[in-house]
Amino acid sequence: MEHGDSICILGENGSGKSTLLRIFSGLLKPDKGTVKVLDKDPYKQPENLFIKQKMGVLMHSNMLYPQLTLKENLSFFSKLLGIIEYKTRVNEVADELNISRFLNIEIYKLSNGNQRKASFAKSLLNDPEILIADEPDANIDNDTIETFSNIFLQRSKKSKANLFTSHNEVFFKKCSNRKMKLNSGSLSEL
Amino acid sequence: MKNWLKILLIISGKDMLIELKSKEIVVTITLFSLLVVSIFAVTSSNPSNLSAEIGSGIIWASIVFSGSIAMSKFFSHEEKNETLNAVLLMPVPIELIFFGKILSLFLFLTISECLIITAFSILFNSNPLSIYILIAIPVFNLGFSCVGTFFGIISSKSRSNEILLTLLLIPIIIPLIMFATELTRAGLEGIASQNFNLWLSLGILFDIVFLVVLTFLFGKIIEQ
Repeated sequence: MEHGDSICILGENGSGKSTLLRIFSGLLKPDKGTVKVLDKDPYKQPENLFIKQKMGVLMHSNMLYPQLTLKENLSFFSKLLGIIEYKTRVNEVADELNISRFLNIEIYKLSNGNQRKASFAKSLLNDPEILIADEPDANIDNDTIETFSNIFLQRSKKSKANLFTSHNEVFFKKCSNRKMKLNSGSLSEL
Repeated sequence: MKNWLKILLIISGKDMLIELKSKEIVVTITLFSLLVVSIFAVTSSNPSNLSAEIGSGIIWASIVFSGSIAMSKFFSHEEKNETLNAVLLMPVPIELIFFGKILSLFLFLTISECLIITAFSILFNSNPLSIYILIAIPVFNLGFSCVGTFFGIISSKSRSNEILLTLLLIPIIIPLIMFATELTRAGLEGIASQNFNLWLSLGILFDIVFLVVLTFLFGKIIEQ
């Protein structure tokens, strides 16, 4: 994977796309073989801290605290990412995803689509070098798909990499400059 | 060091904020313990004459059982929302995540114990508050939170996590329960504990051993 690549991994349900993304993000350790992200091992401390600093992850689950407001969630993760001007950054990503009006609302009170946007906002907080996204287009309307697509394209233009899965043809055709298919445990470029 | 402390406070501060909003953990521990203490109070023919041995047993048995239920709740929420994974994806050393959770549980337990001891002193017309219990509480809470965090995270993956956590947790913390009940008994009797130094050494040793071993193992299980 090179700078500016926006790779979409395609495959049937259960083909292992999410598992592959979890392996790349360091959440799962492969049974065999090795993985290198930014030339470092994602499972070894302290070198994986470098990767985590430069990676944004959006998984199938939104990974947010439902009892906390959107602002509290984003502020918490910004602080862990070591973002000094975190209040400004939280407002920036919320504006980018058009969810500023929900900043003071608890996550559990938001619709599924807005929760998805909130989770996407979390993964963009550190303006990551690599964005790993598992079906980012799930549960969102067409306008939001447009917003997400623009963010993916802008990231590619800035030489940042995206690795994502999708079943939405419009979305992946617009957002990806490379496509791969995962079939029976084998990944092939299309 | 300053940065480590900052991360610890961020993680624990977030748990405190969630607790302030949901009031789930402290309320679970306090209510369940109060029920146990109240049952003993109403079924005892003369609560004022309760022996120190039984009194200390009532206090710590209620804290241990209600604490383990609250811990399983605490970690099952993390598992359900995958929020622990979200924190693991942050550029934070795994050990600090472990310590942050220990600190949160330590604080929840301490707040609950203050309420439980107050209720005990009212219901049984006795004053368990002494230098012994003031020493027993932090030493017990540190060990209980440490073992509870470790097994809480492991058992949260299981469907029957509440039973599993209680079964894993209680046998391991028996030395800590013995330490806490012994010191509380001495406090209730109002006489100096003969083996105070021995019990205190046991409690502190337990905390150190489990903190070191489980911190190391926590890193390993998360890696796997």
